[in-house]
Amino acid sequence: MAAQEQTDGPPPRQPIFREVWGDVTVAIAMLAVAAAFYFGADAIETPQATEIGPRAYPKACSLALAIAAAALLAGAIVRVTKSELGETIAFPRFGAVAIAALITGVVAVTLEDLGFNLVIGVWVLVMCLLGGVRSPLMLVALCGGYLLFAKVVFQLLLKTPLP
Amino acid sequence: MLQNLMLGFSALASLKAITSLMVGILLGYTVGCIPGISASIGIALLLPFTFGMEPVPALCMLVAVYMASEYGGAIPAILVNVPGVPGAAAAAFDGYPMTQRGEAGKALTLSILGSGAGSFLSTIFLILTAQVMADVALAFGPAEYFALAVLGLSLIVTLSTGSLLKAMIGLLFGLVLTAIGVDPLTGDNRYVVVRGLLDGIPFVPALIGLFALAEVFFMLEIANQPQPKMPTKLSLWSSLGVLNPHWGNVFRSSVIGYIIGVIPGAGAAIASFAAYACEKRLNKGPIPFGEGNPDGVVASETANNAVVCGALAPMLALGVPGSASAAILIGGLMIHGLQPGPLLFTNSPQVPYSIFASLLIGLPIMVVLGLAGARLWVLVTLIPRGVVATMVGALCLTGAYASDNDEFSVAVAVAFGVIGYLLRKVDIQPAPIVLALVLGEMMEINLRRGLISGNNSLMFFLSSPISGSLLVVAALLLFVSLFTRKRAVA
Repeated sequence: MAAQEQTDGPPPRQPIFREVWGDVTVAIAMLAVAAAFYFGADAIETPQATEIGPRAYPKACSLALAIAAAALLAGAIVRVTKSELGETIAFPRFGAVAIAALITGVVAVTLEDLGFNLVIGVWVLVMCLLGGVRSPLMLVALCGGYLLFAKVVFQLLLKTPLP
Repeated sequence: MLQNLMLGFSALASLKAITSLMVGILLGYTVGCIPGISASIGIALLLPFTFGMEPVPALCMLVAVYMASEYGGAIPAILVNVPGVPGAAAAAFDGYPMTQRGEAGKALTLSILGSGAGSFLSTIFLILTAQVMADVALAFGPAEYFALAVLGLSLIVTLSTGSLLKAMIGLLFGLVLTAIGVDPLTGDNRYVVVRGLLDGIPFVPALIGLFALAEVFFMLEIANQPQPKMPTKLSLWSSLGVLNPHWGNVFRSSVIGYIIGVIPGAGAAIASFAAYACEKRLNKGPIPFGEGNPDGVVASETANNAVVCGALAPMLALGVPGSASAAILIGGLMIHGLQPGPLLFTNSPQVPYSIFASLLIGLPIMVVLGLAGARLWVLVTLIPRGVVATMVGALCLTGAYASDNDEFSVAVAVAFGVIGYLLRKVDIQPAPIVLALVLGEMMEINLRRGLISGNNSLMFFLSSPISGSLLVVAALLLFVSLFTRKRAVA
């Protein structure tokens, strides 16, 4: 079985936020989304200028989203003024998760250019290392095993072409 | 009805369909046994595998995953106090103390037999009620469908755990996203910044990202923590008669589970806790609940399996999913060009009835596999989290690509994975977003059709008794929920 890292000694440092700052961040992000959709609705080219055309629904939804986000933001500001910062939001193993998100994003832009076997093979290898697998035999088995599985199931059985 | 049921059984009478059912059950058990991988994730991951399949085997496989994962979720809950799926959380309250008393085998047997009995009873309820619901819904117009969507969405928000405001934000975020793509009534492009968005946000990659890829990141967070230690000795077959004293409990919990399953957004966790609380009140036995009372295990497991059929009823008959997993199953139907709702029962009766038939055929298989394969399922729970995360992640990327055969789908899955991970950090769950993605289009189309019919008057939606009542109930639910939560905070 794969070798796993052990949790000995003091816990590693990890980014920690208070709940209220998480609320502020998400409220601002949702306000931005709502604004983009609200004002973006004006750019929808349509011969229908009535209120039941294609612009009204996204405008109404984005307005409702903006109101809800503003309420969350206002509540967070009130809590900050009262020094009620709430529980902590921890990001354990932040480095590993960030690298995983990054390489997963890279897969999305290189899959067709570099090919499935190379991109997914490297991705599986890196993810296994991030997940604590250290045995070389296990790494080879997991990479090769998954590529073989994908080849057999997707390409041969399901006739789904992979790049 | 019987004729349609026979049609369903005959649609299943092929090697492909039975094999799909078996594969679905095996995968469902595997998914349920791995803590963190819920039924929703399992179904989302499996969706891309069904593209090349015929509709009946594909849907039977997806439903089997849904059902079997609820069965399997109790195994780690009972053995190591870690529920495999949220619906199995209540099973741990009494299942784990039974394991500590050396009665792991009895607890697992009770959970599997209780699950089987709950599934059987709720399948009967499903067969009896779904067609009736569909027949009633045939008379529905835009006002009723709009009201139904509003009620569904308000239930999702009011029944969500945590902050009502955050659930509302998740819901509205999902609704805003449904505006992307070609307008369903006029054909105008809305927010189509890249060609891949012409048909809206690609549903399957978005589901894969929100549920599965986000979970991969969460699994990576705890990949270096020690795995739980499982008991190695289990004897399950010695006590098959253990369910005999619990039939009353089984019936009550099945009814509770089915009714809660029908309500959009309620889900297996609420049902199992409700059934558990009901049996706790009725308990007159010597063992208190929470200290290893077998009735606790039976109630929670019976109810969380009955939820599956309850959630399928409004999904198939009305097109309104009763749970996040049912919402993903709608994606499975759409992939095969099938629109859930009353017309499904009229135009393609073999589809819903083959699902009913698969539930009945799959039941004994699930029970036997659960009892016979207990040792195997215990081993599944021992796979290191890092390996599970990697394999699930690789399946996410491959499945997202296979859904449309282009990189854009992978990008969508990755984007939704990161969004899902970050939103869950601030307690915004993916279920309201997904249910909004499913119900958003239904709501918009019927709102606009209703406004056209009613000369732009919103009173049109209150003019029909059904839609008026549904909208009043939706508004009341929101107000009551707002009021009670404020009181709870105070």
